[in-house]
Amino acid sequence: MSAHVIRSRGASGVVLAALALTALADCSTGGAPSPAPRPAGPVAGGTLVVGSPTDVDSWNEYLARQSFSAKILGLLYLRLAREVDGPHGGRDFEPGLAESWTFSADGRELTFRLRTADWSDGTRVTAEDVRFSWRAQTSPEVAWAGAAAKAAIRDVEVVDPRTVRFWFDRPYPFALADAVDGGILPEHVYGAVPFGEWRTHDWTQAARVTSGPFVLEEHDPAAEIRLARNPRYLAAPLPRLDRVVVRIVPDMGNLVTQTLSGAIDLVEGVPPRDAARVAAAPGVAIRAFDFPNYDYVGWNEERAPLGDAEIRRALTLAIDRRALVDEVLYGYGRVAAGPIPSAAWGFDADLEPWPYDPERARAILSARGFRPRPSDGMLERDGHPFSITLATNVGNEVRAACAVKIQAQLRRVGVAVDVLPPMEMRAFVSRNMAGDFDAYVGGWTFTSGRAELRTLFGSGSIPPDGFDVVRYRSAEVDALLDRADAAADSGTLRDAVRAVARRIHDDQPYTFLFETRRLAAVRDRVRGLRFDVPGDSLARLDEVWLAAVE
Amino acid sequence: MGRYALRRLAVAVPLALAAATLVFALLETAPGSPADLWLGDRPLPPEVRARLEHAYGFDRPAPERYLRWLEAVCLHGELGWSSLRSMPVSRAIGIALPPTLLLGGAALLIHLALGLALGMWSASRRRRGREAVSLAAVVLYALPTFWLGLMAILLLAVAVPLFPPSSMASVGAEDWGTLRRAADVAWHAALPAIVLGAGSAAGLARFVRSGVLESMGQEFVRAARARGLARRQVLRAHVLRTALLPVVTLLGLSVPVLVSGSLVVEVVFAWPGMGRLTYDAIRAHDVPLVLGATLLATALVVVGNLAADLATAAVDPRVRLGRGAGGRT
Repeated sequence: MSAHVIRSRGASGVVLAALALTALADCSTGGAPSPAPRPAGPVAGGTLVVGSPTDVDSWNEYLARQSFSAKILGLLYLRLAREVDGPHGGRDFEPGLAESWTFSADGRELTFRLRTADWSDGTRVTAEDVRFSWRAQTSPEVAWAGAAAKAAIRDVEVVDPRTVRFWFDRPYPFALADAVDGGILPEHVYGAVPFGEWRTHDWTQAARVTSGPFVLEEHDPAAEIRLARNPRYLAAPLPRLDRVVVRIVPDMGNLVTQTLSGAIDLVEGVPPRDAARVAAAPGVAIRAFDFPNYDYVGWNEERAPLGDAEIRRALTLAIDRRALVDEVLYGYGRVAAGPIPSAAWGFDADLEPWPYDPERARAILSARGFRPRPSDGMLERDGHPFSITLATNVGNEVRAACAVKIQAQLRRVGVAVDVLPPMEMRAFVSRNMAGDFDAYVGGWTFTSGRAELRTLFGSGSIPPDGFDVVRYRSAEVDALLDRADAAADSGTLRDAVRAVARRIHDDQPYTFLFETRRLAAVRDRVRGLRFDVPGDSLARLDEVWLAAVE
Repeated sequence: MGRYALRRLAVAVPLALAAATLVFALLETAPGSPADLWLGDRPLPPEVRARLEHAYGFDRPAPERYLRWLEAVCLHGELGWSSLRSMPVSRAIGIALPPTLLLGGAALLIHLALGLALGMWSASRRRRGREAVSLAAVVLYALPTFWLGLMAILLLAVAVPLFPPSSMASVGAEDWGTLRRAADVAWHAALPAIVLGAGSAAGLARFVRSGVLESMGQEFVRAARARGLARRQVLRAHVLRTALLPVVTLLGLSVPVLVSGSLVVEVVFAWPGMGRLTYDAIRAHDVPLVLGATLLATALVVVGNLAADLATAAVDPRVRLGRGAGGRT
């Protein structure tokens, strides 16, 4: 937790305080402390080697699609402020390019005061850069995937070179979070290229003019990225590192091997099955951290008998989700209760996951008319067997393993499951969007820290109008979502989204399986690394230093 | 021969375009939108997704996108823009080509040296020795390259750390002198080159062995021996020349592999070459990049075949090329 947290003033101060204090029970970040002895204090210098299976796909944040690209670009371009884990499991904001911010009394104006900061080429960072970045974020020609966060921002006004004001259509609890979403770009560099030409422009040179702790030194595609210390970084003498080198190695097994041999200092995304081996190795520790995600089984409500909420609840009761966490995630996860993950805003700690209770599941299915066949004990109703197909996407061994285990668990209550071979992602999504499935194992990650509810469960979001691929329809949920959209304060919003979560928990359009914890292998010499910026494990590299332990 | 070569090269143009068309059609048969690959597990509001699909042209009909690409290639000589690498396709290929040529060249040397040596050695052994080498060659040839690569890493980079497990250079190598950097690249290339070269050398060894054995039984060999020539002299001056004719053809056919890169080896060893570029492009549905790589690979198949024919004609007096020559005999 940063000690430099500034709270906004004015009317929204209450909103922010409420946001910060929102309880996110058991949302711990960071993992077991490194076993190596702590040296006297931080030292400057050295090269940190980070391993990654993916490369940066664009040096322009608003064109990049890989989440890894966003993390690297986050080291180059500061935001106005940054959302971080707050006290009591809540969220807070710490200053970035802005030193302070104030809401107007009606909550429709948000004014930022910028810090005195320079781009790495010596040009002063101004409010014009902020306005330019907003124009880029909302440009249809740029087509930024995160543009939805800016939908309520009507205009961005340059008050003076160090003051910029955001005008909102309406007051709402996420106004600050949405305003600061996305890095601020240098207009004198990026503005030289019209938005219409952004997608076919090489941004490698532009990434050498930054405001963050590092500047791009060199990028050998598919091989290596070298970031050098930005001497004009506003938090000087940070960063402590002279250089960050990212080694691009497509195979995670190879990355883990190189970390164990000492060639790589930090790699994120270690498969749970490798965690024990890595943790047992000398000089390396496993750090686990939360991010807003869950995996689930989606039931097609238009396929009988899955349209019956009682039947779906029975299926959930028959699936041992704790066993999946233990056996597939090796304990690095938690059973999910509902559509709002524990690391997302609005999480309701009082909402308990359905228990594993195959006896109750059998009783429900029996009450719904399903009887075991004398020949093999499998269930049937009116001569029709209870038989479903279960699909998942290729390239995710956790989901493939889950599908097989779920097949065995449902068989124990008499439901026959035919697990289909994992499908190529496009084919998988296309099939689901068309409604051509019984059930599938899928997952969602919410990079914004807010669980999507309308897009996934609103009656108006049935494909192609959204991602309600399970065809879930609930007038109660729709009304609650309308209430959430109209909420001007976080209390109303929290109540509405929690009511949605409870309704969905009851109806079980998904069987919520688990939330995965992300694992990073870190060499002992890496010190000062914190994982308190949601979804960004590299955000604190400016504070990292290297100890002479090896 | 010159006209023959020109005629063959001219065929490369329609052939490459036909191959690219086929690949485009195959890519388009995949259901769904490429945006699904980009977004993965992130649910996007429909309007943002629609805007993204429009900006990248995914909402345009496939024939229209193909004709635009074809127009850019034929009229402007441009291969399009790679969304995977965020650079022109020609530049992405230009960056990936040198590492592949380096690795392919090294592998080819190992392939030749090992294949020739093993083939000749086994041909000169008695029956049991021949069979042992033949069996070893078959086993080596049958082993999947990815498994061979992983085992090589496990044994020679982890258990006994003689070589680096992946990549093309050491961290910080950019600050070193030219000689040290060259040595560093050679050190990194050694293991993938051995895996790539040794696996295919097994096949070459069997070619050489059967060629040598076949030639040894020919009349001209017996005549040479009858004239009093030593066995080694006969082998070098008469047998090898005949036995190596198929090898010349094989070498020509190796050119496309040399330049297109070995997909598996480059992925296993994180080698930033053409094979990995193509693999990543297919996974990311980067159509212009896949088509660019296809054009290059097709052109190289034609050039490689032509080179094989020309080389065979040069070393084998029985072969005549060109109109009326009846092609290869």
